[in-house]
Amino acid sequence: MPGIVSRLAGKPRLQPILRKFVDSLHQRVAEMRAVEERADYRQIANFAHWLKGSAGSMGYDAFWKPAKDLETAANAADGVAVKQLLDEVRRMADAVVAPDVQQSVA
Amino acid sequence: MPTNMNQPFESNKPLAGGGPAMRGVDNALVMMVEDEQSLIDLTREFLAEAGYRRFVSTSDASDAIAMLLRERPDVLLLDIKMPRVSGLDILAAMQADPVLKHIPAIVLTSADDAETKLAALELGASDFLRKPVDPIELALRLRNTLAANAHKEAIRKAFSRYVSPRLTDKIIGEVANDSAPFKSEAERADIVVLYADLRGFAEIGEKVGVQVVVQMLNEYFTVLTDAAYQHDGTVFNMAGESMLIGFNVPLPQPDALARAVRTARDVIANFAPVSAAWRKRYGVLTGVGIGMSRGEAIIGNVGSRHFMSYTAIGDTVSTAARLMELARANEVLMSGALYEPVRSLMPGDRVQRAGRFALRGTSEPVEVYSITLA
Repeated sequence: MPGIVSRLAGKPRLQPILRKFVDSLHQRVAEMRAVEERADYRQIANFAHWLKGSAGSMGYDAFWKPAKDLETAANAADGVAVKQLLDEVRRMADAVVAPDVQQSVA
Repeated sequence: MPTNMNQPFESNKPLAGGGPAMRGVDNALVMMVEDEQSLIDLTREFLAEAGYRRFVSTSDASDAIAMLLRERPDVLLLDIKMPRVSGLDILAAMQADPVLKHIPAIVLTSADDAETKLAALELGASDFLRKPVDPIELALRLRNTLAANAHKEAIRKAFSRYVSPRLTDKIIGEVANDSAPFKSEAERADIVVLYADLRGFAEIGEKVGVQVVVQMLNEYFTVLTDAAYQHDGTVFNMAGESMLIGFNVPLPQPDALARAVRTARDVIANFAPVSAAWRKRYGVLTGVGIGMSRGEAIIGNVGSRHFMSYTAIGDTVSTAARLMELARANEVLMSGALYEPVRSLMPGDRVQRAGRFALRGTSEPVEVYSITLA
C-alpha cells in the first residue's frame, strides 16, 4: 500500500499536531486487537466514530469511508464485516506517513 | 490537564453573547468543548489563521458549564459524542441558564444521523457542522453566527430599556416569527396601567446634596423596575419621581391585571425597608403612591426625529396619573371599573371604597377604591 500523507502536512504549524494524532492513531489501532478478540462492538463503534471525525480533520481523508463502514458494521454487530474493515484500517494505519519538519522545510 | 486557556482574558467580562456587538467580531472569544485534544489544537490553529486569536477550550466535557459561566464566550464550538457528559447534555444545561442560553453554539460532530442533528437544533444549537470540518467553512459559519448574534444582542439591548429580560427574549422570538411587537405605527390596545410616585421626597432634596438625591432616586427606581420586570411589565416612562408601567403590552398578557396588582404589592413591600433606612438617616417619611387603571390606550413610538419614546397615551393613562396624585404613601387607588376584577384577586376587605373623585374623561365624579396590600 502506498504511503498515506496528510493534505495538511505541508503546514509547519500543524505538523506537531499531526504527529500527535498519528501516535494516537497507532495506539488506538493496537488497542483494537484486544477489543476485537472480546467482540466488544460498542468499543469498536466508538473507535470508528473517533477515526471518522479525527482522521479526516487531520487531512487523512482516506480513512473516512472505511471508518464510517466500520462504525455501521460494529453497531450492527456484524463480526465478519468488522474483522474485514479493522484489517483494512490496520493496513492503512501502517501506511500513514507522519509529517517531518525537515522534509517540509526542504 | 483538560482545560486550556491560550490567551489572557479581561477581568471585566461583557454580558454573555453581547461581546461581538461591543468589541467587534474579530476579537470574539471562541470556546471549544471536544474530547479529542488534537482536534482542539487543530481548530485553534485554523481559527488563528482566520483571525480568531482568543480561544479557550476543554477536553473534559464535565468542566464545560463551569467554563462557560466563567469565560462567557461569544460562541461555543461543541462536540456531541463525549464520555460522561454529551454535547446534548451541555446544550440542555445552557438552555436552562438565563445567561448561557444566549451564547450561540455551533455543533461539530462525526454523527451523521438526522436524529442527532435535530436534537441539537431542538436544544438551541445555532449551527451544525459534520466532521471532518472544512476550516474555511468553519471560519465562515463562525463569522455569520457571530454577526447574527451581535445583531440580536443589539436588539436585545434596545428592548431591555423598556421591558424585562424575560419579555425581551419573548419579543425577539416573536420578531423571528414575523409578528413583531414595538411596531413603527402606533395602535390602540387594551392595557393595564400602573403609575407610581414617591411621596415625601421633596423635603429630602432640601436636606441632602445632589449626589445623595441621585443615589436615593436610583434606589427607589431600582425597586420599581425590579418589581415591574419581575412581573413582565413594560416601563414606558420615568420622570421626576414617577414611573409609568404598562401590562398586556407589547405582548398580550391574559393575567395583566393580576400582574399589575402583584407589581404594586412588591413595590410597596420592597420599598418599605428603603423608606425605613431613609427615615433613620434623614428623618423623613416617604412612601409610594400608586394609581391603577385599565382601558384603551394608544401605544407607539411618539416624538420627533430627534427624540422618540415608546409610550402609552390616552384617558386610561391620565386616569392612572390622577389616581396616583390622589394616593397617599403606600396606597393603591383604582377606578371603579377595576373593583370587581381586583376583588376576585384578593380578599374583599382589602379593597375598600375611597370616595368619589373627578377624573379626566368623565363628566361626573367616579367611585375610587383603595387596595390595602398586606
